[in-house]
Amino acid sequence: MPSAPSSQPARPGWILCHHCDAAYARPTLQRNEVARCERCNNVLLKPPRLQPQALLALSLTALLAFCFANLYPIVNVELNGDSRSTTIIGAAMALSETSYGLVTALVLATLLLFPLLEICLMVWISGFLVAGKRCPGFHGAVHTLQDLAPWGMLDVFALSLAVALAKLFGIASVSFNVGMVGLIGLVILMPLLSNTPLHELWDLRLVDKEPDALAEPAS
Amino acid sequence: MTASIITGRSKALLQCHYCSFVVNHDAALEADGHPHCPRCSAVLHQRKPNSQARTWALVITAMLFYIPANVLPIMHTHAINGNQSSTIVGGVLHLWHLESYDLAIIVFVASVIVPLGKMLSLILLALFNTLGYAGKQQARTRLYNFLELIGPWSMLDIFVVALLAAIVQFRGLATIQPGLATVAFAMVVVLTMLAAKSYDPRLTWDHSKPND
Ligand SMILES: [Zn+2]
Ligand SMILES: [Zn+2]
Repeated sequence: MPSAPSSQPARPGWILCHHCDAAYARPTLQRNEVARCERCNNVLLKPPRLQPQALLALSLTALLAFCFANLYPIVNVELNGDSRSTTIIGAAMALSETSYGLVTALVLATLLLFPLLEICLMVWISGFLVAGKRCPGFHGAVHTLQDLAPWGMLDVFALSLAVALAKLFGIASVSFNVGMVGLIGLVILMPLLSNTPLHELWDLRLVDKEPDALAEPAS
Repeated sequence: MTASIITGRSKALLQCHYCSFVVNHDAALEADGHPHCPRCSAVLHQRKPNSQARTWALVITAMLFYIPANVLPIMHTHAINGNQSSTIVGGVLHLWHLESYDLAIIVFVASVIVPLGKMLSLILLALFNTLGYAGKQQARTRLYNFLELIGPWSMLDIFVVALLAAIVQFRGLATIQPGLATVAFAMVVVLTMLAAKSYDPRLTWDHSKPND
């Protein structure tokens, strides 16, 4: 069985600060060491911390939480014997009833489509990584993940739910449903998943014809 | 202090936005006339293309949408004791009068402070670059990093309205419908996030004199 890939020691060559474009010779870092830019003080480089097995476990758990959060209603609200429950899709569709298609699309994308895409791509990529391989479509998959990063909004949705329910407390009786467990799980897991150092995926040497880094700058 | 700093631009080096691979500009040039990353094949840019013009256009459009977002009603309530339409600020004031101070503050921060602060900050950052101002660079870089962090939180009120409209459908007793301001406000959120993404923080440092 192939052993799981581990991040390689730092490549030689240049590194540029993403925030100010200052150029440095790529430093070799010890554990718990962080390189900072001398000019703007932002983090330049951290030691690699990507663990494919942990990432696979995390993304599979998130997938499970996603199914619970979307297949079951999140809350039940009862008023004078009349009961209503809602799912995440239900909330998005409530906006479409008044034909605000644009807002519905945005809500569906930020709460459903983008998080689901992020989770599935993570399962796909980390599943192959655990087996020591790059997944088919690796370039496109990682680029998509990196582009999606700021557009998942489940954490904002959770706070919105708290605000909406607080407005209803005292007027109607509110009870939580199974979907709530899934939503809480997602709110905890999605930030962990989004915190994955995606750029490290590129540093794993899983292909033979890796281009050579530019020669080390004369210092 | 920065006398010893060399930049990627001065060495004609490009760093891939996706995989952080560093290449020489000429070595990365491909048949389509653009440099590409040798490792992940993404198109490389020395600076984000048309960064200043895009940021200005997006943030000004966002400002324009912010007006209807606040003037138009965001929510219509139909109840047995009468119908009511409320704006974003009206909703905050309503919560305040109900003595739900914590909710009032959460909604006020997410719907007013965050989007307004974000638009004004982006205007300030873009203006400094347009004027070629070279001071307070560390503070400007920190402000930009902060703006990227708070981006999505202004969606809060839209989600609240969506949830209320989905839940409060008790025919004859009370129903809630979303108002037109949700569309304008959604545009503000998307446009400010795109504006922050178009802004290039490296431009802040391009005006530094080499021997300061
Ligand atoms: Zn820097
Ligand atoms: Zn690349």
